[in-house]
Amino acid sequence: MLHENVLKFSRFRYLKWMTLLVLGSVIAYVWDQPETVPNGGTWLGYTLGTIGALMILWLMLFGVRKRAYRSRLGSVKGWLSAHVYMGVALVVVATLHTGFQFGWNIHTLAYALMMAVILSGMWGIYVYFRNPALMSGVLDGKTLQDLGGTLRELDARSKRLAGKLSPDLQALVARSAEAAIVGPLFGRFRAQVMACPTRRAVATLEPLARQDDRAVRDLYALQFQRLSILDEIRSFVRLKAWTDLWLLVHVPLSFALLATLTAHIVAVFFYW
Amino acid sequence: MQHHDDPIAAEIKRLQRPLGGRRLLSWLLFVSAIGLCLLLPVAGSDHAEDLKALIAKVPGLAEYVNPQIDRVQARLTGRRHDPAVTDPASRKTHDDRVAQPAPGTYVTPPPTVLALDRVWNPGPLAAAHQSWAHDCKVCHSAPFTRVMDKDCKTCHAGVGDHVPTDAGAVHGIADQRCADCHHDHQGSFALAAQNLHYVGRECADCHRNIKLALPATHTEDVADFATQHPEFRVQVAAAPPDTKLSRVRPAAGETLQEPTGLKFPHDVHLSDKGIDSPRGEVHMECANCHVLKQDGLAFEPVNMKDHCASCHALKLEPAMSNREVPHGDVPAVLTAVREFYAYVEAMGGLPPDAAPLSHTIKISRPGEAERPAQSFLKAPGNARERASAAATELFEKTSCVVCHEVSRVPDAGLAGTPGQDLPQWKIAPVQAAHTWMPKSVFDHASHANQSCTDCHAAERSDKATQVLMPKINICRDCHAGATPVANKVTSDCGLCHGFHQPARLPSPRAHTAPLPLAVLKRPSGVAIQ
Repeated sequence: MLHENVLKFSRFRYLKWMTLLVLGSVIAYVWDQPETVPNGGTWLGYTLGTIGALMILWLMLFGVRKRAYRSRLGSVKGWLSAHVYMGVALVVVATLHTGFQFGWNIHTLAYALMMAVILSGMWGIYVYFRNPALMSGVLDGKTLQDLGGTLRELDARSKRLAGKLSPDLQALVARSAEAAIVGPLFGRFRAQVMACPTRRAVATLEPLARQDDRAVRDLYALQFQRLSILDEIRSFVRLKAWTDLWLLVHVPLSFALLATLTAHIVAVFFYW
Repeated sequence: MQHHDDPIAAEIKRLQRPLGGRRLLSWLLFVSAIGLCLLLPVAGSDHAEDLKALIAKVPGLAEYVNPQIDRVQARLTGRRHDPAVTDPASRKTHDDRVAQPAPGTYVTPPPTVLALDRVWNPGPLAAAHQSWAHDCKVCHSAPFTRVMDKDCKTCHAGVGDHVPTDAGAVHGIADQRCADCHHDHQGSFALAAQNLHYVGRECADCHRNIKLALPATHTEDVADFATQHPEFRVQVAAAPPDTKLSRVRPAAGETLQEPTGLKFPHDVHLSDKGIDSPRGEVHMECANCHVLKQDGLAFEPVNMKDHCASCHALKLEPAMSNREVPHGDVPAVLTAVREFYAYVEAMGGLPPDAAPLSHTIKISRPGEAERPAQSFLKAPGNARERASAAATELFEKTSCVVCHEVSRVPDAGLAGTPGQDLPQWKIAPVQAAHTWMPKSVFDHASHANQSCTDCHAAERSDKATQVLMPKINICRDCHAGATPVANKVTSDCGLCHGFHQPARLPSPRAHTAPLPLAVLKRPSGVAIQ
């Protein structure tokens, strides 16, 4: 399992390193007696700030390493393990760098963005722990393509069966076959589709199937099966969408962080 | 067996792709953050006119937008658009000023457009600086340059150096900027707290071995008030008429002497037994003569009229109680005496307003044996001779000589005055009041719960020449050093000393002048210069 390897990688090597870094930072912060209040401008403030900025740059390089398939610079798994622990350690290093001075300015904006990126990363760890098992549970060894094939098969059989029945039922089945798997826009984040034609077909056929017409009963069974498969696909897609979503927050926010961090550093030296 | 036109397969394929938009969103956020947080403030700060010129290129926009920019800018920074300063052609004038700063002509560079750079403000300014919180360039006059001393001195023009500049470059101070030690943007009271911190803790960094920083100094090493602080140097005058003041460190057990030109025994005046005065027996206390100034630091000068004359009347003639000679001017005294006896001779008797004697005139100083006062109304000779005898009595026996060094001189009297034909005397000049410890500030008001004689041994002083400044051990009775001690006042350097000292020693009358503007009052009332 990927997630076990990521956190326990090389016997928690990066957890140990980052614990040392955090402890070192905290001890230095407690030991340091600045002339007034702790802030980013003392020697310790500059040191922690420099370390923090380098950490942010390295953390962002993960996006490059992830894509460099031929790179032999450590395994991606190792990089990810270090990425996770370093990201968490950055909370302490950067917070001590601020000296707990916050305000309505770009410096605190950079800090807030950094915290948002780290929080979204933690969310990412959570979904990586939780969702893959749920997703494979939903599919139960099948692939989406398998389920798609079954849908097509069910649709073909439904169409044949409906050919013998009323035009109303034929239209019902045709609309069911054309039903979209997920709704528009943010549809993939929901397991339900509003006014799903297959669900309507099932609802319409259910009372008819109680009558003693075998063809209708079979059609009902086919449509019921179709709805079940649709629900499986939708649950899977929903889980996958939510699993992907954190990265849509994590990555763009990290670039916003890179921009405000640059502004922070330039501003500090511009009006030194 | 999938078909490319199969909508189900196509949708599944689409759903299997990860969520899109990461790249677009990343670029969007990166570019807008760089633009808003970095490029716009830089452009507004350093390329204000370019920015306005850019706006002006859009037809119709400049007429509306640029006045709005000026209006908002003026509201935020309190500064109006000034073409003379912000004109592109003269934009580099700030750099010119760096080369040739003329005192009083320093002009702060134009403010940033719309005060855009205020988003960079890293923290609250000190209370006194907060009105410029939206106008960074008031202090940060040049980009990528740390705050320069001239930026500070635009307002803080009267602040002195730490060490008089004629003492030479002091290692560790000469190459420091104001802002190396005074860090703003740390909150409303941070600068004051820093000042207290520096004078409290860091003086000893250099002063414990001061010769390393300034080999030529006469200052002795100081580490802590309680454990390593030399005896106070007291500023005393040379013998009059030389008014030169110099700071002298008394040896152990030594009482410094200063020629005052006066005879004043503190012990007699403060005697427990009291003084037999014209108004009966009086018990004097220090405050009868020494009145604290309003600043609570020093005392008003003592003067004859307010502090001496009620006892030390300058009676002209024992037969009259209501005639005195004026104090301070020898020709005026002689004239008064000469005119009086001329009147008596011409009119054949006392003036009509002569009040009869109500009591015996004292001509002996307190504690001395009584002597009868002598009348010259019926003395032999003419009026001039009587006046001469009376003046001699006045100067040499009964009045002037009581407090002053009086010497008879063969000079002629001041021409054109009635007293010119009398013998002449000279009164030794009196040393003017001056500051005793110019390198420290002593707040008498905050010591009001002590009695004066706890520190000044006036009751045992029998000569006016004795300098009654207390020695350091007296202070140490109550004052500990920087380390707290039970029942003592914790005292760091800043309690008595300032950092930015005036360039020269105060003049002899300096303590009557107002304190420098750049005085930071401590809560205790001790001023830090």
